[in-house]
Amino acid sequence: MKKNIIVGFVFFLLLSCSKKEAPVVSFYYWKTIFKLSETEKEVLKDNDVRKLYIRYFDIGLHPQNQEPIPISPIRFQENASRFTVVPVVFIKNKVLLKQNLDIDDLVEKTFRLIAEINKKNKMDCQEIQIDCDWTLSSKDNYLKFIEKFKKRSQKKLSATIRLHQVKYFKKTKIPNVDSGVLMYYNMGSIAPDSLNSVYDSKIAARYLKSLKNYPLPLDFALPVYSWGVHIRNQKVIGLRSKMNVNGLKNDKNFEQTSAVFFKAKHSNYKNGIFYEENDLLKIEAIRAEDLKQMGKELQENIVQQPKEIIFYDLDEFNLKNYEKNIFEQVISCF
Amino acid sequence: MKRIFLNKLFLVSSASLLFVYGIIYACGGGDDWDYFGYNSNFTPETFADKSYTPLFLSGGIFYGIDYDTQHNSRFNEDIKTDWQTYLKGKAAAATVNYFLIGPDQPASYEDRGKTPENKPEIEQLHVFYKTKKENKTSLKWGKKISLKDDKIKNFIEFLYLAQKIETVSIGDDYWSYDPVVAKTFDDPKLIQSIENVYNTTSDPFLKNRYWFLTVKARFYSNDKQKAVLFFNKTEASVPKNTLYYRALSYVAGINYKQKKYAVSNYLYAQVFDKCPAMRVVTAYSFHPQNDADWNKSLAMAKNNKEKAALWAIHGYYKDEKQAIEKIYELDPKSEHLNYLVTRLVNKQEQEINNSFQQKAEENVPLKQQTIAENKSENQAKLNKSAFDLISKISAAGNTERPYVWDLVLGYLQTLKGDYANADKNFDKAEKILPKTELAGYQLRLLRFVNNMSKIDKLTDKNEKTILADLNWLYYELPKTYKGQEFRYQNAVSWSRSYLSTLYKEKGNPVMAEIFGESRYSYWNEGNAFYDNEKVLLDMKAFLVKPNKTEIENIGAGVYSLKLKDINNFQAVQATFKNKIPEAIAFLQQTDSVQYSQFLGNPFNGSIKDCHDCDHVAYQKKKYSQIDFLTTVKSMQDKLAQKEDVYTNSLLLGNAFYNITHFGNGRTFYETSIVGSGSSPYTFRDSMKKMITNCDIPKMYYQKAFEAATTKEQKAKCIYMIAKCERNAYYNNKYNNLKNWWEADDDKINFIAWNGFKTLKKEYSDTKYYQDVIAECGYFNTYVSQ
Repeated sequence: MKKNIIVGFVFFLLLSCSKKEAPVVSFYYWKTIFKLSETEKEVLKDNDVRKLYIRYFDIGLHPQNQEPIPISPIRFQENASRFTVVPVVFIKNKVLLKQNLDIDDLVEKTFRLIAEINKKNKMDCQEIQIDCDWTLSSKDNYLKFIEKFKKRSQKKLSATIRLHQVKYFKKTKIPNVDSGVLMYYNMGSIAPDSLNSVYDSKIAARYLKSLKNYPLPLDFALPVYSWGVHIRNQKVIGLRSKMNVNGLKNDKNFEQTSAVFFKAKHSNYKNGIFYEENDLLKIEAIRAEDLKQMGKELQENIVQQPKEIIFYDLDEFNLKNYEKNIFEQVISCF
Repeated sequence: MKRIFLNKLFLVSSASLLFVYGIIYACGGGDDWDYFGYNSNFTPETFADKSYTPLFLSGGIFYGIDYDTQHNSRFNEDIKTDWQTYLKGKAAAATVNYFLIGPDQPASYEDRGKTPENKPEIEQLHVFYKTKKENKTSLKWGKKISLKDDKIKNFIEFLYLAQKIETVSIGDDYWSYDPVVAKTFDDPKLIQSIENVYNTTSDPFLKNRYWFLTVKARFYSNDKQKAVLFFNKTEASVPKNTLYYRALSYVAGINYKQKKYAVSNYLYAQVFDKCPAMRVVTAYSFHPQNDADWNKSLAMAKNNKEKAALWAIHGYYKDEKQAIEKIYELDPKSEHLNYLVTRLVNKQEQEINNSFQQKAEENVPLKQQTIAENKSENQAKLNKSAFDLISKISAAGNTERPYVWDLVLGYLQTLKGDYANADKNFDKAEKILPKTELAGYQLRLLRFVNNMSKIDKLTDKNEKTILADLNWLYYELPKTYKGQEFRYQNAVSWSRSYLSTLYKEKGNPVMAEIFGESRYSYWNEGNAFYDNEKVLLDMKAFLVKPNKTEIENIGAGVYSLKLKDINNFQAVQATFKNKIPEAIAFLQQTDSVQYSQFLGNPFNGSIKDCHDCDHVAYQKKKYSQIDFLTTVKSMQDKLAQKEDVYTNSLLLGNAFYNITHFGNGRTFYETSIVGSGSSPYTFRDSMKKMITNCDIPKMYYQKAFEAATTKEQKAKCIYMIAKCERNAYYNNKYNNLKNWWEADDDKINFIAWNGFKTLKKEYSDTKYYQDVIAECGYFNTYVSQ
């Protein structure tokens, strides 16, 4: 009997040593109406997803009086309470750059709106995430906002972290949150050139080494979206979401001029956007190999195992571009 | 908690924008996509009706207003006038307005959540009519208006029903949340009762309004199709007024929601065409999803006018040229052409390089262009097919406003380099130009741009062709023109660059600087022209020259620097070179500048470099700039006589230290030519070097040290020398830095200067040493290591 206990104990030890706890798969939901398609539901089920990071609203400035206002708050047309929901609030940097910003007021309004959305949709949350591409000049306001928001909400608070904020954290500072999510995308500049602004392993390499020194525990957000960069006369005039190479190959109004470039053969409307003759669309997409490469290079450069890999974003259009088991493959890198 | 904001927004045309309203802000932020700059000589207000103004080319969604600012108030004035007329003799205009809009006083921010008082009063008056029992409100108003009068009763009862619908149609408190995308008005009985009044009333004024209210109520209900059915059934009998087109745009919105985009866009185009007040709303709502929708909408058009309307709204969306071409074929007299051609020209202007500089590559400084290079760059950008189209229309002369096309053609000819024909077209336009100030100014400006463009080399003769207009642009318009619209600022800056380039080509750097000065640099890094002493002297000679030519006078007048600024600069330079008598001579020629006072005592030497502390400290004597220099001079004289060497050397050290970036007297060098700023890195290199160099103070501190007789004196000198050493170290470290991000990565955060070492080793028994430890954390860190 005694022996059995010891054997059992040893076995347990062995188990817990040999098997690292793999991170779980979760998703960002970034649409303004919450309603899941069949494909989306299937992916969530197959990957045993329990947690969703749902964008509740953006905060921008009113175009006329320059006061902070929430933009396009989420509406639920389907109950999300079977998931652990983390409300995400995206704060535009220009809000924090505003002179004489009333931070207490903004904290109060933000918190109350999240609470109101939860209440009216009969939901609850234990964690809130703040997403902001803060800069050196907005740093002070941002850090204050986080500090006060944490006090006000009394909940777990997480924040998104950009690559440069990891590398130069001594200058950009670290928000006082419980954990961060490294956005491992949007690395390059959105430009008329042929580079991919979403992910570029060369650019990534410049930052990866810094991960080891970053003091905040990090989860990782990886991209599964593609978009079109709309270019006219060598100038970027807009981003067109939910666009991929196959879709454009089938569009008679466009001709493919290289692997990622398509040219408008004549002026036309597509998904409500007008394209002039000779406008270019550059498709920036993430292949399955890219995702695995990301997983690999992140794993090689971390000291602490992430708890979650959050994919951006949950949308049928994005999911169709990958094999079913891609998410499993990516987390197995860790 | 209800935080809905109703006041002032009572009369609403939520139109069909409801469905896409979220997007208007999402795009309106404009963040990084705003390329529109004011490099324009072409004022669209000259050419198109006011209702098109928001549709002029703009970097935001709408020109001048950014987004739809009148969404909730667009028709307030119309509605007030309509009801005032209806109630004439029965109620005062103020009373009518009160019931329609609410109290005159705008609600304070704190009160914005409260319902304005007119609303419950309308409610109470309705109760009074229904129950025939007097209440507080009926007693109050009964004294002012005859509540029994039919028209008054009709008015109140109408408002009662209208404000029921408003509970869903407006909301302006952004920080409140509704769990549904769009609220609906679900009270079929009430809707039916509105329709019943429409059916039974014989008064045409009321009938028309109840008709609109029925469409609106059904639009906000959950059975929107009924609004369409009702509209189709009744529209034939309805007058085609603003209410009709507002109702039509509700129908368009319902079609949009039902994804019948072709119908929706077709209807919006008709509203755009017929109802000028709704041009902004419809232009925003018009939204073909793909080419098929668009072609279907075109096929629905019953006649050329309707087709032209579709092209007119489409032209706002994109591709003005094609739209002009099509509309011109369908209906050459269409007034939509006017606004479209302004967009075409403004768009063409955006391509133009007005700077006479060429961007070569990333991180390579801009290359100066010659006049010829600039012209050929710009001429290559001219859209040939647009040019041909305008030529054709101008020649035919069969549009509503032929002068528009003549002016446009003339301007495009200028851009093309065909100056003679441009003149001809301007002459042609002049004969039929409306006699407005704006039209006259516009013509004069375009003629000036043409005349200026003719000049490849300045001669006495061609100079004369632009003098009057230069005076007009630089001196007269800024004083006399009170409007906002007229775009002449570009011609001001462009002509200055143009003249500067001409003088550069002529080898006349002084006149090139006179016209080419860039005054509005963000960092104020001063003016590098004066780093070259020869041209500095030439400029001074030019400025004092008595018999200037007219163009020289024009230039000297717009040039922001005057002789005193240059003398001041020379005084600063001489001071930093320690040529004090020379500096005094220059400073004496700076008018009032020499009397401006130092903020702190420039002869004090503190342990800490804290200019704010020095500025607030008690100062027995306030030094003006000239006092400062003469005092320095007298100290230097005494020093030369070996008089009180220690004290004089120490004070001179302090004086020269204080006028560097590190001292308490930065205002001494902060001038328009040196530059200004709290960081030395905002100054150009030559000036940065000058204001951060501490060699002269160090030299004086050294002298003081050598003459010092007590240990306390020596300790003080040693410490002051250490401050200079410290500054030299950081100057050297950061001056050549390329990448700021990497600046701290060398991990050096503490250096023990020679002065520190000596101070610790040899003077730790002085009182001054203790003072330094108390005040200077840096030194304290060193000694406690």
